[in-house]
Parts: sequence; structure tokens; C-alpha cells
Amino acid sequence: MNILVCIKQVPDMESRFKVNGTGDWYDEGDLAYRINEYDEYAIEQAVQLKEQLGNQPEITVLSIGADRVADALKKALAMGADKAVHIQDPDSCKKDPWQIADIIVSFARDKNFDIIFTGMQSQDRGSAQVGVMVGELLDLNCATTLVGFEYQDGAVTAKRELEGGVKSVVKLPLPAVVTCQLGLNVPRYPTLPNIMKAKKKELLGIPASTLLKEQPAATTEKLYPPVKSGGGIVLEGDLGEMADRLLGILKEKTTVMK
Amino acid sequence: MLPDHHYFLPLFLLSVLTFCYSCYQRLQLVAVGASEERCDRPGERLAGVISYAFGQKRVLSRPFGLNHFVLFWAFLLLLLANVDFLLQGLVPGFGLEALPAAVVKPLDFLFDAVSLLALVCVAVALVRRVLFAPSYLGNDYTKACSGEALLILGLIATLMVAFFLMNAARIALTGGGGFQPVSAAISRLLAGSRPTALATLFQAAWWVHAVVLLLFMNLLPRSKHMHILTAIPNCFFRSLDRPSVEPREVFERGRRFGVSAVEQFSWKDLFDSFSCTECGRCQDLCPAHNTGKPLNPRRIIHDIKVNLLQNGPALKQGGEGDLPLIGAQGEGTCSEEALWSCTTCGACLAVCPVLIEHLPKIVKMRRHLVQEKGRFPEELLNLFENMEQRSNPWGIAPSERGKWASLLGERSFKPGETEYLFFVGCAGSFDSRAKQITVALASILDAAGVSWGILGKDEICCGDSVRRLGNEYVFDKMARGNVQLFQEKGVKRIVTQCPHCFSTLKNDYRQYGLELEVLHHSELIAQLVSQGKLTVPKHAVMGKLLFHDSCYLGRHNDTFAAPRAVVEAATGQAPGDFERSRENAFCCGAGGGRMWLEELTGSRINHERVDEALKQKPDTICVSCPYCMTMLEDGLKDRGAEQVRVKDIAEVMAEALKR
Amino acid sequence: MKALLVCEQREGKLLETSYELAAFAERLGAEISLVLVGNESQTPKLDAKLYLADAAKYGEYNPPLHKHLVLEAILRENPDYIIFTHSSYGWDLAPRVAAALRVGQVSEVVNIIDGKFEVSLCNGKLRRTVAPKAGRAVLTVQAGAFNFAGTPSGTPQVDRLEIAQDSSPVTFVGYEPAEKKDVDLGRAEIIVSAGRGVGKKENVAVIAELAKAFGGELGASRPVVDAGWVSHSHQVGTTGQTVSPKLYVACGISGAIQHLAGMKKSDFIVAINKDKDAPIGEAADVMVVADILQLAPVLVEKLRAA
Repeated sequence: MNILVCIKQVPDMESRFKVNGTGDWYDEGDLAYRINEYDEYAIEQAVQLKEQLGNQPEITVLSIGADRVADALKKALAMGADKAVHIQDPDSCKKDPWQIADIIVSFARDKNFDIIFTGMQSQDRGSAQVGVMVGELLDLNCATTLVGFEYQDGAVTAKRELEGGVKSVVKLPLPAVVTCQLGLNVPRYPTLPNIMKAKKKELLGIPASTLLKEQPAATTEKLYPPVKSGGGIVLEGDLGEMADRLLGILKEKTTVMK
Repeated sequence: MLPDHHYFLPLFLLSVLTFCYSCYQRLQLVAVGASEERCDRPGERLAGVISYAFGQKRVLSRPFGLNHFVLFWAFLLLLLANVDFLLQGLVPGFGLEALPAAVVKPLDFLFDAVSLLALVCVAVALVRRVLFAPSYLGNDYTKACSGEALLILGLIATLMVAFFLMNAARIALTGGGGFQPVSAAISRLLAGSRPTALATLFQAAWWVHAVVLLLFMNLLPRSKHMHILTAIPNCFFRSLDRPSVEPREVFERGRRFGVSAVEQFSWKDLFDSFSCTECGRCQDLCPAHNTGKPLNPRRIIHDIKVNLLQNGPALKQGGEGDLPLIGAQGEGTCSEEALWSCTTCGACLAVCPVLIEHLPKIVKMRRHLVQEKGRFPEELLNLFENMEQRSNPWGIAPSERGKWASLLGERSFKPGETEYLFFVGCAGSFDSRAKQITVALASILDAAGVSWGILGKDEICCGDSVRRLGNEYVFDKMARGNVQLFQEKGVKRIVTQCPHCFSTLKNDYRQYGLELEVLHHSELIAQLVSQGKLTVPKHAVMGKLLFHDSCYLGRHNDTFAAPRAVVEAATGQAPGDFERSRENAFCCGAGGGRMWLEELTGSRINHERVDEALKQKPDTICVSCPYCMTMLEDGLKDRGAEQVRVKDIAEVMAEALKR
Repeated sequence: MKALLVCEQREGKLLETSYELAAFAERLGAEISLVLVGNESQTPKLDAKLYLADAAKYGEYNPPLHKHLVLEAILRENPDYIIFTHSSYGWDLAPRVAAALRVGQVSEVVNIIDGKFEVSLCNGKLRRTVAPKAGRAVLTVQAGAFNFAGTPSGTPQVDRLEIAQDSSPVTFVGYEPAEKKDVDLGRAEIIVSAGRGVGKKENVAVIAELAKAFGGELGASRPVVDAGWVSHSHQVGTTGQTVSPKLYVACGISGAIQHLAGMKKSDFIVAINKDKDAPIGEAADVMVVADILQLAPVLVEKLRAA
């Protein structure tokens, strides 16, 4: 079996973000990067599948981005992937999901991957598009937002999480793409011997320009911090008035109060 | 009159042979361990042997230790008497007798008197064990009145009684005994007996003494009384640096990380296990054991010994043992929960009379679990990620680190200009309660005109918690980062407000070649006071004040006086002490990474400490560590005693300066 | 400008978010038509053309077939925008449709600014406006961001939608009801937490009542759990759970750092505390200075009335 895991390196969401000079993305200096949380579930699930199948499958992990992306790939290798592909693109933030999907498709088209794992979305953009687009373009079966994964006899039984905690169970034969959601598994903490082994595993670099064929389909015009949500409003005084004002603010500022 | 040496000689030779063989077997097991340098600085080591072994320094720190002290010296002196005894048995007429009377007579007196003392000590020990046994003498694998303990005491007593009877019979037969008052007194009881009866008594006592002596010798290497042989060398091989500073690891492919099998310990770790006499002092002080956790430091050492003995035969042949070192297999294995229960408070290290190093063994086993198995309490996953990603335990954005100083204006450390780097630490930078300590310290330093600066967002966690939790790989990265930063900035002096940062920077970073002047704020403030740079206009009023010793300031760095001096300068009164204080202080429960772990088994360590304080009805508990602050404040709230304030020494001093 | 709204049914029931799509389209100033795979008895009450495909035939969940149905509706209607809810249904379908059409998609739109679509990124720490390439585009709209004013009362003109294909390799096995767990803080959208400030065990019920009125879960700080007032599964903080709900209400919680670290990722934080200077104020969007035991019943009453 041939497994592909697509991962993205994203800034630590705890960071304080600043807008860059051209006003169309965040300033990448001074940020700490890590593997997109949802992609960690994807790596873990791929490794669990490999273990289930007696370590026979080969896991390729792929990421697109600047040099720093190698760190994310190394962690994936330490978690149990077999080889890594770094699609080099110092400007990957300028690519929209359509182009990212195109790059992955160009790489994967002739490789006969049986199953592709990826996160259900990235923590920075949150578009939730790339995995499904790859599936569509490669004509693979696809299920999103997995919180349960079982593999048996050439088919995946996936548990998808719907709104309100309801789950829908679907069965899809391979080849397939699945996108992973919080709750699917607990990504392992790489052990030191595996970190050491990962240093010797293959890490192939491919310039993105050799794979990309598409123009962007949607472009970021402007990037800016949100208008302060409520920022330090202090309510004091009469109980009834405070309650009314509080509920008013919540209706205005949050999406959960109907 | 002496027994026929033709019978004694083969018995003696056989005993010596079996004794040597037993010792050889044990030492062979010790040799299974990894190499470790423990013979450097011999002068210092010998000095330690004199004070810890011959001076019985730690044994004497408890009242009953006097009994052991007497017994120990009696043993040493009687060793001479027994050598004499054996020599006479082998070569009649060859022994101390041959020396001039001026030497023999005092020696006769000494041996006689010391034997009586030893007999009394044995009786006292026996009575203590049988009637007044302190709880820590027993535990789940052995009781105070264990057969072994009673047998050994019985054998010693038999030796003494036989010695007296032998001498008494001889005096009754041949006279003399002017310098052997005890034996002479007994001989008077024998007066009137027939000479043949006396000769028989002498022969019988002689043989009893001889057989028991040889038996005792052979029992030593096969029992916990092996310490009689190993304790003195163990004091020699002790850790000359802080034993609480775990050794570094080398991160290379193909190596093992941490300890998962007994042979991965160093030979000294294994030697330790043969040096334990099961006195139970470590167990008595251990905060985990005292609050119902499965950890017992004495048990850890015992399990290592049992594991080594059981796996030994296979290991000696280069094979692997069957009994796992870490697991739930009972005696001979250490349970994971026990290993995670340790607060690394170091009470066991500080109290052990023979300088056994419990704590590093626990951390070595944690290293295996974390680094090779990825197996640890789930709460730690978040902690490790936060440390790796954001260099602080809570996962707060590093850019927030210097925020507390924004009201004080520009306070960056400037290379070549600033004298002290104020290493604020994670709690002092992010925790709103601890930030008050930070601000208090800043105001004190300003009042004393000290030149200080911070690293702001470039500061990263010292790595204390991850090191004690066994995540040496991450600690290594953090330590390198900090050391490099200090060197780049040309830092020469550091002040911290957290004993964990203090001890890590001062002791652990030494392994990374960093040797700076690192001061805990208690030391710096105490210095400033004594130099007259800080004058207190009016004493701070804190009511009845108790000082709680932080493990990492006190026990791990012997700093007991400085924080007390600061409190005294600020309040005009020496602070009160807890029932358990200084070297014996009881941990708050937060050390060793326990701050980040749930405490679900047994009672809470911080509750136990708070209850101890409340007995004295204090108004204020003074601390010198932000973790102690959190634990004690929480404990007081849980106990409904919020009227008792918890203050850091810096806050007390800042309060005094304000007036 | 024309918009095709992709409505959703689950277990035979129309989802209310379908109307939010209409509200969004209205903001966009688009003429709407609808597409729904479902049953006839649960159609959106909107005056628009509705392409209705029978769920009995095509399945309530079957992305490959639904994709073809939506594409068929697009073929007939020729819309400028194809609009989905940013939901588990939209996640599966929207990017397929976009890729099949080879057009761009803008995900989780929260606002329209000068004809550009505003979306949030990096946990709401930033916003950006996105412009799809001229021509057609797929949009997904954040649930709850656009409210439909009034009660829908229109009647759709139903146009039956059929395609030749009626099977796909993906099979729908069934639904699993939400687990009846004691509490599931990790997924809760609203968490109302009790701190030591509630005073005693009996008062936790007051906070639980408030949580219920908000439609959220009950959380707690460590001391409340330690005291045995609620079970550990409710604990928020470094040694409990790290949560990120849309709304977090901290009741009588002073804001020790162990607690803050567990809830600071929440989208909106309300703190209710007697002490105006409690450290929780630093993290809170709204600080209500009040005794929670007095304020909670008032809030419960108003929430129930609403």
C-alpha cells in the first residue's frame, strides 16, 4: 500500500500577528512555526494504518513551503513516515487553495497513492478546500472531517463529525482521500530513537515551479486585524441592566446567541 | 588452653573463601553497570569519608543516631580484638599478647568496656525495634522486626556475651583481669566452679564466638548488612557536585536514552543499592510517601537491588534479565506511577546517612519513559509542546514575556552596560500573582541602585521542569539556547526570583560550560542589606510570620540563611520556622514537574504543608519561590484559611521600603 | 447577479442555516435559486425556484451524486455564485463543485465589504478580504454570521432534479447520535464555568442552570473539581482540558494562570466576578462586576424569556 500524507506548516496560533509591508499577508518574521494540528492527526492515522498492516505500507509525507518546512517534515518522519517530499516555494502563502491542490495533484498523479491523508483545514487559512479538491482532481473517493477511521479489505469506514455531535458513518473503497478532524486520535510524541532515525530518512526537494500549472482562482486583497471584539468592557451597577447589556453584547459580538 | 587450631584452620579458610566468593559475586553484579568517574578529587573524597563515615555526620543528625555511632565505633575497635582473636585461633600465642604490657593492658580495658557498650546498644536497638519502632522502620516489603534485623542484633549480642564468658572463664582459671572490669565481674560469679568446668566453658564460649563471627562475616554480603562493607566506600564514591543535577546524555543514533534495565544504570547506582541499610529515613521525609503516593525512595533502591540480584546471572553472561525494571511486577520493579510521583525535593538525598543518590535514578527512569517510549501522564503532552513551541509551560506567546516591565520603561539588558541580568523566569513573567513578586524585586533593585536589565521576549524557560520530568532532549536544546544567549550578551551576573531558575542556571548549566555568578534574589537582597545599600525606614508589619523553605533554594543549594536574613531586615524579627524546616523542610508539591501534573492519589502535598503551618496560627507565610506561592495559596484557600497571607520575601522587603 | 443556494436537510429535516444563505444572498444583492437533495415536505419557505432532488433516490449523504446534482442545477440556472453553508455538508461538497467547475472558492465568509468577501484567519486574530477571479465562484458562509430577518413564509417553485447516475462507490452507513457523555468540553460552543467564588457545592447548581440556559456545558476551575463539587471531566486548565468555545463565561473564577492557559483560546470571554481587579479581567472581553449568585438567576430568566 502506498500512503501520502499532505501536511502544512503553520505559525503558532498563540503568536501576536502583524500585517506585512504590502498589507496582503501577515509578517512571517518573528513567528514560530509548527505542523498544522489537523495534519498531525493525519500523520498519526497514517502511521496507525501502517502499523495495522504489519508495517508494509510506505508513507510519503509532503509539504509545500519555504526552507523552514523541513522541520515539519522531519517531525512527521520521526512520527513514523518513511520519506518526505519538500515542494520548495518561499512564497507559498501567495498560492490559493486551488493552486496548492494543483501542485499536489501534479506530484501525486502518476504515483498511485492508495490513500491520501490530510487535515480537514489549516489553522491559519481555515479554508478546508485542498484535500477535497485533490480528491476531485485525481478522481478519488473522499470523506472529510473524520473522527473515526477503520480500514478493512480495501475500504475505509469513516466516522464524520456533523454539527451538534451527530456522526455519520460512511464507507469508501480505496483509492481515497480523507481529511482528519480533532478527536480522531492523539498524535504520538516522537521518541528519541525515532527522531534520530528520521535524520537518515529521505527528504526529496522539488521546486514548486516545476509542478504548478494553474493561476490563482481567488486572491487575498487585504489583510488586517479585526475590529476589537469588546476589549475590556467593564459592566457595573444594577443587576437587570447589566444582564441586558451583557446579552446585547453577546448577540452582537458572537455567533452563538440567537 | 586454646582450642585445637587444627580444627579451626579449615573452618576459617572455608569461611574466608565463601565470604570472598560472595563479595566477588556482588561486585561482579555492580560491574554490570555503566562506567562513571567516581575517583576524581581523592582528597575531597577522603575528607567526605572522614566526616560522613567515620564522623557519622548524618547518622548523628537524628537522636537515635548516637546509638549507631557508638555501635559503629565499637565495631571498628572490636575489629582489632577480633583479628587478634582469629590470629590466636590460627597461631596460638601469636597476637596482641606478644606486645608489651603497657600496650596490652589499655587495649584489654578498651575491648572489655567497648563490648559492654556494644551490648547495651544492641539491647537498646532491640527494645526500640520491638517496643517503640518508628513507623519508617517498616514498610510494605519489610517490617521493623524482620527476621533479618533481629538475627543480626542477636548475633552481635551473642558475640559480646561469648566474648565476656570466654574472658571470664579464663580469668577464673588463670587470674588476671585487672584491666577487664566487666569480664572480671562475671568471673567472680564463676568463682568456685571446677577448673574442668571452667575450661569447658572457655572452650564452648570460644567456639561460639568463633563460629558466630565467621557466620556473621558470611551473612554480611548476603543481607542488608552489606552496608557494613559498602557504606564507607559509598561515602568515598559520593557525588562531589550536586547529586540533584542529573548527568547529561549524548544524543546520537543507536544509543539508549534513560534507563529501562538495571544494567543501564552506572556501577555507582548499583553500588548504592547494596549500601542501603533500610533505615527508612528517606521514606520518613518523602512528601510523596507521606501523602499516600506509591513512591518510596527506599523501595526504589530496594527494587533496583532485587532486580539486579534476580537478573544478575543472565546479565553476567551478557544476556538480558527477565524481570523488567519498570513495570507493575511488584518487588524488583518500579511502578510508573511511583516514578511520576517524585517532586525531586531532594529530602531523600539530604538525609541518607550513606549518601545514596535516589533522585537521579528516578529521573533516569523517567528519561526512558519519555524519550524512548513516549509514555507519560497525558497532561505532560501539552506541557512539552508548550515548552518546545513557546518556551514556557503555559503556552503563552513569547512576545508577552517582557510585558510586565512596560510600566517601568525601557529595561533591556545592555551588553557591557548592565551589571545584573534579571532572569525573570516563566512564572514571574506570565503568572499574575508571581508578576507582583517580579515588580517588588524590580523596585528593591531600583531602591538599592543596582544596574539590572531583562531579556524580554528573548528569554526562554530555563528548562527545569522538562529536565526533572526526564525530557532531557528538550532540556538540552533549551539549555544550549540560553547559554548561547548569555554568552552572546556577555552576561556576567544573574539574579533570579525563582529557585528553579536559580538552581538550573547555577548548577545544571555548569554542564554546558556556563560559570557565572548566579544569585537568588534572597542572596542579592541580603547582600544589599549587609552592604548598607538598602535601608529599611520602618519595619513591615506581617504579624506572626513563618518561613517556608523552598527545596531548590534550601536543600538543593544550602541557602537557608539569606531569605531569613531578608525577612528579619524587613520586619525586624527573625521569621518563625515550620516544624519541618531547613534540610528537613517538607516540599510544597510542585517540584520535579509535579506543578503540571494532577495529584489524584492520596492526599495533597500542599494540604499537608499548609496544615503543618496552621498549627502555629500564623498571619503570614513567607516563601521564596513562585511555585511554593501557588501551592500554599491554593492549599490555604482549600483549607478555608484565606486570612493567612502568602508573601514572597521580595514583597515583604518592598513593603518595608515603601514606608 | 444570480446565486444558487445549496440547502441542507439532515435526517429528513431542513436545516435553518438554509435561511442564513438567503440572508447572505440578500446582502450580496443576488437573485436566488435553491437546490436541495431532500424530501418534498421539508422545503425552504422562500419565494424562489427550488431544484429538488429526491433524497430517497440520491441519499441524504452522497457527495459524488450530490456534486452531479448541484452541477446539473448550475447548468440549468447558470449562477454567478454557488453558495453553501460552511458546515460538514459544505466542507465535503463545495470544494468538489469548485474543482469540477475549475473555479475559485472562498470559505467561511463572515461579511461582504465593497463586493469583496471577508473571512477570518489565524483563530480570528486576523481578517482578510478575498476576491474570486471574475466569473463564477463558490462560497461557503459561516453559520450564524448572517441572520434571516423575520419568519420565512415563501413558497418555492419546485423543479425536479434528476441525473442519469444513481449510484456511487461511497456508501452511507448511517447516523450515530451524539454521545451522551457526562460533558464534552472540547467540542462545546458555549462553556459556563464555576470557580471557587461560587462558595460551596450547592451553588454549583446555580452555574449549571446558567450553562443550561445558555445552551452550553458546565466547566469548572481546578479548586472546584478538587473540592469534589463537580467531576474532573468538567475541569478547564493546564491539568484539565484546553478548550476553545465560541463563548466562555467564567463565574467566580479569579483567573489563576493554570486556568487562563486552558481557556484563553475562546473566541469571546465573559468574566463575572465580585473583584473588579481579578486577573481574569486581563483575558476577558467583558468583565461583569457582580456577585454571580445574584446575577445568574437574572440572566437565566432573561435567557429563557428570549
